[in-house]
Amino acid sequence: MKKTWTLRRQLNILLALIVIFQSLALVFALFISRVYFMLDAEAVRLLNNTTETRAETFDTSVGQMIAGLADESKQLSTRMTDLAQQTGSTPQAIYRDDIAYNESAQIASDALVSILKQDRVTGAFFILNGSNAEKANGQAHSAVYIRNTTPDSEETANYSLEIGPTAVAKSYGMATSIRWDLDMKENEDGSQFDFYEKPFWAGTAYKGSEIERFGYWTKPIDLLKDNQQVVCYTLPVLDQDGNPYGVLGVEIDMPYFSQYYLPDSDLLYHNSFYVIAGMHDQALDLNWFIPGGVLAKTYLKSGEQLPMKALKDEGISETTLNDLGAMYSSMRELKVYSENSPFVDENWTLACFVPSQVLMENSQSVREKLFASIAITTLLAFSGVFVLVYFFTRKISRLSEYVSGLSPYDEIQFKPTGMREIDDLTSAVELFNQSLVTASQTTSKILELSLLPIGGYEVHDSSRNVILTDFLYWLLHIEPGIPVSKEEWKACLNRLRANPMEDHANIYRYDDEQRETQLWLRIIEAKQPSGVVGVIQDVSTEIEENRRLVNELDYDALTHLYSRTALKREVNRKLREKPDKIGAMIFMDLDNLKYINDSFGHEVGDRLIVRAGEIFRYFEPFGGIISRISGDEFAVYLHDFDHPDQVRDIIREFHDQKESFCLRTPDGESRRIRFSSGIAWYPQDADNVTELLKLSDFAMYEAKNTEKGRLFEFNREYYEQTLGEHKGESTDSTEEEPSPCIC
Amino acid sequence: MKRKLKITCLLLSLLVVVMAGTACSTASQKKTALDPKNPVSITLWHYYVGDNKIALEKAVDEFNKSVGSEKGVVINAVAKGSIVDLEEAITNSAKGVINAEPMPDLFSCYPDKGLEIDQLGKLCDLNDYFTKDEQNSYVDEFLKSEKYDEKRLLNIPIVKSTELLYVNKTAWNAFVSQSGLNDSALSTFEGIYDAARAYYQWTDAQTPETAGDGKSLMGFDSVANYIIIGNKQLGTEIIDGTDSKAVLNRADLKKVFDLYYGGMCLGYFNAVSKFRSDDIKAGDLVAYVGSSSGAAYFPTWIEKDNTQSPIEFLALSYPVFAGGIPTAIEQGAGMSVTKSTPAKEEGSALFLKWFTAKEQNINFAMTTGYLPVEKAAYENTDFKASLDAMSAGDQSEKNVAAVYGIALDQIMNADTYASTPFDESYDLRTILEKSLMTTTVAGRQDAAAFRAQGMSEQEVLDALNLDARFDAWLASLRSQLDGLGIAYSEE
Repeated sequence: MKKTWTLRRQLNILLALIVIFQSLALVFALFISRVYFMLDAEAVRLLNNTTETRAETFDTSVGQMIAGLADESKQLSTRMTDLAQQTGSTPQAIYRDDIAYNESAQIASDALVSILKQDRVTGAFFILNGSNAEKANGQAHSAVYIRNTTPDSEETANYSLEIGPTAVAKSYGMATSIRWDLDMKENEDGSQFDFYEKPFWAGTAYKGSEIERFGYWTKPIDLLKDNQQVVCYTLPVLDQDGNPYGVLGVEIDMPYFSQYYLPDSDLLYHNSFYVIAGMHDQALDLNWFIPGGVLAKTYLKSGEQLPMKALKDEGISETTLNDLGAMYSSMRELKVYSENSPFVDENWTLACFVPSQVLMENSQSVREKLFASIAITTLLAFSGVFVLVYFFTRKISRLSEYVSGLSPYDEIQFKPTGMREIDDLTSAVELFNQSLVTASQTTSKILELSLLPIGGYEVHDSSRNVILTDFLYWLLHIEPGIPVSKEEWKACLNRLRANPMEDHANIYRYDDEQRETQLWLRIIEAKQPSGVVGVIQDVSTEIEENRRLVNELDYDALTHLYSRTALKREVNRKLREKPDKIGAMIFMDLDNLKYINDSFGHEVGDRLIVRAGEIFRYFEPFGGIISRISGDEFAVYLHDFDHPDQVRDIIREFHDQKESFCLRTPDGESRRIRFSSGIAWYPQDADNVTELLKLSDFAMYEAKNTEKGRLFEFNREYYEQTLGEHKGESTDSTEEEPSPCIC
Repeated sequence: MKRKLKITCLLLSLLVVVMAGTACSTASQKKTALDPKNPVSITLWHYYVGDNKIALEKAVDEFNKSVGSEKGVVINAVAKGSIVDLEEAITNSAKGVINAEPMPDLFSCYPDKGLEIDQLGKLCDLNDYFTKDEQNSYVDEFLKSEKYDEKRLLNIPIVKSTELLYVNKTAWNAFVSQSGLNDSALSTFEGIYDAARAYYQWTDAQTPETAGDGKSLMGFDSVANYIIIGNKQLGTEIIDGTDSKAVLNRADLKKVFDLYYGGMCLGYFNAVSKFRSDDIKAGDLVAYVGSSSGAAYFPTWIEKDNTQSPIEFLALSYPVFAGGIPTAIEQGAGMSVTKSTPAKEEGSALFLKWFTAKEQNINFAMTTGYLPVEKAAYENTDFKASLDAMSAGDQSEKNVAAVYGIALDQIMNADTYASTPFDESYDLRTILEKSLMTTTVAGRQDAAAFRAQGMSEQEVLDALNLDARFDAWLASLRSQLDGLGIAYSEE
């Protein structure tokens, strides 16, 4: 049988498959379109944009600052030349003259203050080519160095004079610093003075060029030996012949550099940072670098060469930092020198570092959320499917539950489901059921009207109760319509089948105690695929009739002795039961029946036969089977003897009484009843009842022919002889008047 | 069985819906608001300059790299110029003045300024972040001046300082050898006044061709401190935090006024550059009262004819008015935390605890001559060793060591005083200083005019009429106090 599934399960599986298919299709579509990798590209683009913008801003600010500084240098140069002329000196020798020097310090401080107000720098300085205080010391330079710790404000009171005469401090109301000095001194070994020497050299070497060409950037240095790293930009100050006699410079300290030029506020990704360093041979040279904040200071190791692996996106490289792991870096070379600058080979690269994980974080998170959403949506869709299918099929399930719970006696009334097809179907079923009920009722009625005492039952495997027809309710004294369980029914059926009838299959005697009657029931069952059906019929009348008929066949109506058929059956039974015993068939024929009939009428003749029957009942006590064969012929069979003489003794005794066998006729006479008899032995003469009857009949005829009223035993020899002589001869004998009875 | 399956399915679907709905609202209660993976960025405004600024920036770097990165705090230190600039910026931000920057999360602040900002509802009560034990680790006196109403903790002391007398010993000795005075003349204000007059006259006499070109001996870095401490030495708490008012004791105020006003007008005292240490460097002054925190600024040489002229240094206790109780100021800006997010407040408090812990605090304090704020620092062997090393160091280090000698002595002997702040005490302090300085400037101009007329010192003094000037100053004080609604009483 084909496996069947419930509608609910089928719908669930179908819809769940649709949901799965849809989700897979979505994932596949997303995979093909590579949507979630677009975010990675976008992140890289943003990083590049940020760096690009920052580099441009930086280049612009620095460009403006250099332009401003170049202007200041030119103006300063003019004023210094004027001063030199006024004091009868040259710019190259200003430091040597006290008055000129003091005046130059004031002029320089004006320029420096102007620079500090104009540019986003933390300090500005002017260094002369010699020292006024120590004129003989070639390594000392008179200078004015002013610092401004708050470049964002123009308040000169916050400036501090690092180097220069106190007159400068007084005139601007600024404080002098802890390490305030009058001169700037070269180191003994001449190191760390490139901020002075380089532009000085350039101005000399490329004399006549535009002043910006001579500009020089220092790497971060501790210029004032106060543990403050600063980056400086210096330009030479030239005399009218273009010869340098001092430098004008600005300094930007590291905290302000990162705060203003490399602000964290740019950065779009956490754990990312800027750094400015030199880039050589695919490696970031960290011998010097300008950190853009805490992270750069923390994670970049001074002196290291950080290999940068260029990726296919332009300007993007990959590297690894010990603590932060894999990093992406967007890099742009900064334009800090003119193209014709002798220092143009010094590479300043702005690098923006972002941990790879952080850069890809958004797309990773989007991917994760996308898949989580798909998974949740799928789960929700599954739940939705289960819930909707449950409610959708519930009405249909209820229909089926309703039908399976119905008893055959209930009227079917389906609840509407709201689904047209199903409702049409249920209406059709209702209609069909109505016709079925009508047909069934008609059949029932016909059965009832036929007066046939018959009933049926059905035991269905899937049902708790048994279906019974009205007759069975009547038979079992149960109120019609009351449900009968299988168990109850089994008990009832066992009671009905308690007394099976002998020799009759499927017929049982049933004593109905309540009605005090005895019934005969025929119970027939047939197996069905889904259970058992059965019919129970009251066959009491039939059985009684049958019995009556059997009685008529077995017994002679007049004498109530066995008929010939019954004799044969009974004798056969005895022979079958005890075949080794000896038996005798005694055939007897009344000698005077014809005479009596003729003389006194058939009524008296019947009385004679009746009387003779009574006489022959003599053999009943000896187990004799006594039968009236026909008319005036009787046969008695005796069995269960060990010797013929035992039989002979019984017969002799019977014959001894034969004088007393009388019949009173209407004429008032008592007439003797006479009969001739023959005897054939079992098994000596024959072994079957037909042969025994035939042979004993022959012996009786012999007696009749020889001497009426006598008993002859069968003689085979004579029989065979006679059989040869009288073949086809009639055995009719003439009857004579019975002799009067002695008694 | 089937039924169970159905129920399970239904429950499962419900669970999914409920979980999806609540997933995002699930909030785990955390003990700390800080997250190392998502560090909170804290802006710190300070007024430190020079070496203090560098020291602070170094400390901030160290914090960011260590505790900060471990706990998830990044401090961005921004120098806002002088304390005046900083206070102005803070006030503007707190009041929401147009174009003002947003409030920093953490800023340097004097207790009385802190109270003013607190009035605007912008300060965080640090009692929430500092346990009793943690508060106990600070020197009691220092923390007491930071507390308002004895309850709210609005300010954590960072470093403290006191004032003392700085003397260019070389110049002083040169004068002493001629005048017969000795160092004890500098122990009282009256003595200083007399010495200054003598010094003026002595220097004036060195150029007989030019009259009235005598040099000033003495200067004051903080006129406000002079007024407050002068009154205190004489027995008056001019800033009465207990009753939230100004106490104007006429007799005491007069003494304080006469000395300063007279000295300034007659050129015995002076203030040329931004700080009196600058005046020492320029050779414009011989001595000044200034903060111990300026110790490093005292030079080892002064500028003389465009060259360096070496000088020696003498540190003396803060002068006292004759008959008064020796008292010096105890001062120092602490830091206040702006009311903001729990993470920022907690991060700020974390930095303050770290920064005031003895190791960091000693390092920072000793850059220029501040005093650490934790009790433990004073018993710390490193602190003592540093002091010893300083005493044995070069000249400038020896100078700082000498200042510590005086400052620690004043602090340890409880000769220091800090007025108890109240809501208007910041304004009161400003009024006292500004009004006296303003009237003095006018007095100096008048005095210069009188001198130009050829008047002698005494004639100038008489012409100035100090009593009338004092009354005028007092009247101006009263009207300014009335104008700001600051209560005052007169004695």
